[in-house]
Amino acid sequence: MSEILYEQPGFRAGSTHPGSETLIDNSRFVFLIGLAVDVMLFAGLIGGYFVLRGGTQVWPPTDLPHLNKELIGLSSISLALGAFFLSLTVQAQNRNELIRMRASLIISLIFLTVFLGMNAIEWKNLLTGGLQVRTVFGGIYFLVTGVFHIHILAGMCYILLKYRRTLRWKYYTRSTVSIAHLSYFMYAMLIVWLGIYGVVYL
Amino acid sequence: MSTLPISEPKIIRSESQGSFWSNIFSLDHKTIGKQYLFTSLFFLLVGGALAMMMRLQLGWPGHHFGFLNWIFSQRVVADGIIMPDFYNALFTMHGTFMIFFAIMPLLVGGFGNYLIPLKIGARDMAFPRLNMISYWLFLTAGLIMLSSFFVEGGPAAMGWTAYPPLSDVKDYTGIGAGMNLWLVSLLISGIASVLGAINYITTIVNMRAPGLTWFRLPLTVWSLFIVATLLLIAIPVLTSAIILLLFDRTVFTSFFVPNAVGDHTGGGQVLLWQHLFWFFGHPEVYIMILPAMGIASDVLSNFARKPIFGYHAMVYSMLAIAGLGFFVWGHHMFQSGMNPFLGTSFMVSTMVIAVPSAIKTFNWLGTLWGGNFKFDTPFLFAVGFVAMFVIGGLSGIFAASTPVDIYFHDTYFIVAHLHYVLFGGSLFAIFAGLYFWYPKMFGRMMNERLGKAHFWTMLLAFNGVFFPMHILGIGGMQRRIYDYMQFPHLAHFQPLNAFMSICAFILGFSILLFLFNFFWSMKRGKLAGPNPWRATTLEWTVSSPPPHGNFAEIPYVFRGPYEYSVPGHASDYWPQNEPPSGKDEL
Amino acid sequence: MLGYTTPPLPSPLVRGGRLFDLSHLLRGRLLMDVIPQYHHWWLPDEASSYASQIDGTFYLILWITGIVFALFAITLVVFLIRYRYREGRIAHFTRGSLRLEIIWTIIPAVILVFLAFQSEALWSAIKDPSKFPKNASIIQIHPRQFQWDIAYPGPDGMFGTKDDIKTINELYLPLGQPVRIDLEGQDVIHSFFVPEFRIKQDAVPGLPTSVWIVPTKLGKYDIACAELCGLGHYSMRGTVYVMPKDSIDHWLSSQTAIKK
Ligand code: HEA
Ligand code: HEA
Ligand code: CUA
Ligand SMILES: [Cu+2]
Repeated sequence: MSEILYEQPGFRAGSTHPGSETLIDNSRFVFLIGLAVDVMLFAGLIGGYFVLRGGTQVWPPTDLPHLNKELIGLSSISLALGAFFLSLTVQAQNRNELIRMRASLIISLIFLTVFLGMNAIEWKNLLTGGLQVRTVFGGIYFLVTGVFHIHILAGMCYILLKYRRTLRWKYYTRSTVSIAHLSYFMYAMLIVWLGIYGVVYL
Repeated sequence: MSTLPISEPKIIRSESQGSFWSNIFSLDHKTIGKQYLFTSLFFLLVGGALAMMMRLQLGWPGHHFGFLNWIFSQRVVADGIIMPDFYNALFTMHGTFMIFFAIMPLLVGGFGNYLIPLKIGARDMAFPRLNMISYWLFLTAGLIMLSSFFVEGGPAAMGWTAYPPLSDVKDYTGIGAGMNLWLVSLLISGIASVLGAINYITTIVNMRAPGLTWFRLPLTVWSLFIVATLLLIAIPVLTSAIILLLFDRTVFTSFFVPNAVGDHTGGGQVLLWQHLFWFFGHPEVYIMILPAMGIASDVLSNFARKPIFGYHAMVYSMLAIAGLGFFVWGHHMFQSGMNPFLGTSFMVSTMVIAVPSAIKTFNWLGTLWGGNFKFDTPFLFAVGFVAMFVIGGLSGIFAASTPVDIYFHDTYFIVAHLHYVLFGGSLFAIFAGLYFWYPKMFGRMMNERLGKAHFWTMLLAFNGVFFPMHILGIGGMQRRIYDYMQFPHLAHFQPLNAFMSICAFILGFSILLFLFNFFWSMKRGKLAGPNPWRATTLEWTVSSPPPHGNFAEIPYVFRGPYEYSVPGHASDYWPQNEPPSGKDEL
Repeated sequence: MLGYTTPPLPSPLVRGGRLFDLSHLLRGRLLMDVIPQYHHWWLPDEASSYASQIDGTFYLILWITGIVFALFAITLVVFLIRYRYREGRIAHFTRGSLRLEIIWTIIPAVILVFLAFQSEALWSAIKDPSKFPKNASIIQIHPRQFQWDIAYPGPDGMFGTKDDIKTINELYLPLGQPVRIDLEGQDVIHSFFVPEFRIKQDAVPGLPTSVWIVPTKLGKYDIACAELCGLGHYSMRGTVYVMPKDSIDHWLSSQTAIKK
């Protein structure tokens, strides 16, 4: 027979899971799903990298200019620091420390710029060193890293926007979830990047 | 009904009676659902019309169909004869339109948008604006796909699977912009699907009415939830494949081009595309069957007037199909040159994935057992779905067996299989769902007489077209060939093909019957009332069509979705939101 | 019989001579043979050593799925008739049965796993490169839009040398002798398909693949391209001639002579 569940009253209508108040809210949930989709996109591209590598006898190609492991390794550290300072921003915001919040936003932005800068140098070296976009290695290399850099660039634009907004605040930080989301996003990107670095450089 | 302590509903948006533009760019899930419905019915007609052209050629190869020259330019139909490159474009665009712009949006976009909030007792989707964007992206994608018919070189003609290098290097086909538009269109429709899927998941997880626990969800909602997660995993992989192919085509990288040709330096991997495509493609076919299964389950239980047999088994088998669906893609590549040992493991997983489908089939039979059903049109289509799906599933077993697939791969046997599961399966269930929920959507019943006529002509004509395809496949006829008369061992199939073509025209006629009924009933159908099928789920507790915001107050759910003929209950159905009798309300 | 040795093939119950070769009835040919007009509406002749095994597996699945479908259809029709609407009757209330669920999970699972094992044995006998016949002569087929470029190694036994014997769209095979065919597409993917041999293999550019065949029947068969390869896909047809070994040898040496 149909068991009958008597739920406790007291929930908000139509917004949350019955009986539980503390379930993840819509915007955070949707953000996390979106992030998962994004990571799947990279999974597809990196999967493509593996198949191409597996099917080619000499990989990477012999005439490949030097891949600068050290430089890009440093840039990874810079990316990690960028993500870390972004999470400090979230913390500062939660503690209502406006100055620290602004400072860590800027520091994070700087580290991310350094990351992109180092990668720009690497791109330039590879291109002048003769790696062509049309070769298989060149194509997949520039595609995967390029798509990644676009993500970081988008994140940086968002940070700038946020920073401009904080300038309008005077005494206390407004609590919005979006900075927290941005910080998750950077950590996710960091993991993706370590994957790319490991696959391509190591 | 209930006087539960629920906060007063606030109507979230109220532009539904608003201006023309606010109706077009509506945020209401019901309007968006209907927009999906009409748009994808239109694309179904486009895909069907292309199929009719194919059947003309296949039934009477080389015959002069003078009337075609009234419509088509001399380049594609010369002197009444369909040209081979145009034929290739026909089946490519037929498969593309049917899969990406008809079946999938009908099920996921149409039924998904319309039914999810109503069935879970919510006022709308979690993100109405995202929902609207998703529809408009889908429409844009469809229009881009249509526009590719009019560009230089014609539309894509590499099959809906678009295997490179054929789809990659322009010199091999002469098709330039058409193929690029094909890729861009699928890229956009993929984004639309992902946006929709994100929305569905959030809505189902967060916005179920109080008391509506996971195991009180109707199976349609379960299936759409599972499908949404499949989309989220599968689509990004297709997207990455499309990006790679677009780069190959536009900046001449060589991801899929093994030999130097034209501007390509070569060195790529041909099979990479197939792996990425089928990693998406196989889950995609389950994306098109799971909602159909959900719809059929709802309809069968309602008409049998008894609970669905083995509700939990139904849910778990759908989950199993979804999960295993990511480990079988290689069964499309048995003869592709992929390592034969990989082939073996893909065969084993493919065999295993038939088990949950078996569970579902037997549970549908169990639902019918001891029922008490009237043969109304939705029920006929739901039963038709079960029968046709079983035929299609069983022919899948032949294809799954690696040695037998050596012979059947890329023959009409596979074409038979795919139409039995996609047309006999998905489309039959779509019709069941349309006849079933039409009264809810438009407030009127569809005409029963016409509905039955539609069902019987469709069932007979469908089998008349597609059953003989098994015979063609057994006789060794390859698919995607313009003129089988070239092959002495196939020429004797011409009379059979002619018969199939005639059945195909009857099939087209039966769809016209449906369309006539669909539009005629909007004005002339019998008034439906809120609950014409005496069903239990939440959408039937509100007026037809439901008001903006759906529920006057958010319902409270007391029981599962299939409480029919419960012993001791006065009527033979027990709505989910009806407070338990005899006991006091809270 | 033919004087050749086929490589060992699995001989479980689908093998010719046992259960599924008992009669034409079991092999589903009866109707087609009785009405000669429809003879061709079924599997083409078997003309290679493994053709009958593949057909055997086909018939095995046909029987299993046929029986499953018949049982399903009978149940469905009986239910539809018995439980049609009658005034005043109340549907039998049940939510399901765990026992039934277990039964109808296990039985199909067992059947399907059995089928997987049956298929695997035959599949690896045909496709496993380490099981290819050792003494096979080698022929190269490198198809391109829209023709089959065929090459025999000539007297020196090597490809790419001057004495290679080349044909287009015409493949000569010795009766009863194992041959290995090395495939590789020159431009797009094509698929080497000879219905009577029950063999199909994609010829992929950049990825060499091989198949082996022992023709068992003299005659002339079609090579059909089975993978969409563009405008002329439908007309990409070749012919296989299966001839006695000495005629082939004769033909090969005459070709060499012409070259000189
Ligand atoms: C809705 C879509 C849909 C569905 C549900 C399926 C379901 C299945 N498909 Fe199908 N398939 C397609 C759509 C679909 N397919 C399409 C579009 C293609 C062609 C793509 C192209 O190349 O263009 C294709 C191609 C395809 C191939 C590739 C063939 C080739 O190109 O060589 C294979 C091979 O394994 C296959 C197998 C299966 C199997 C085993 C199932 C199983 O899931 C079926 C399970 C169901 C049953 C088995 C029936 C019910 C069960 C019983 C009654 C129980 C008892 C049964 C037994 C004991 C056997 N399919
Ligand atoms: C999703 C589903 C779907 C649906 C519903 C259909 C529906 C139909 N299909 Fe489709 N088909 C595919 C999916 C589908 N197909 C796919 C994926 C392929 C593979 C493509 C590839 O190889 O790349 C394929 C391939 C395919 C082929 C093989 C082509 C080849 O390999 O050479 C054939 C051949 O007959 C065919 C026929 C038909 C017919 C006659 C219908 C009919 O049922 C259509 C009925 C509908 C209508 C007719 C529309 C309504 C009426 C009108 C528009 C008015 C005009 C009517 C008249 C003039 C009578 N299809
Ligand atoms: Cu070559 Cu098709
Ligand atoms: Cu599949």
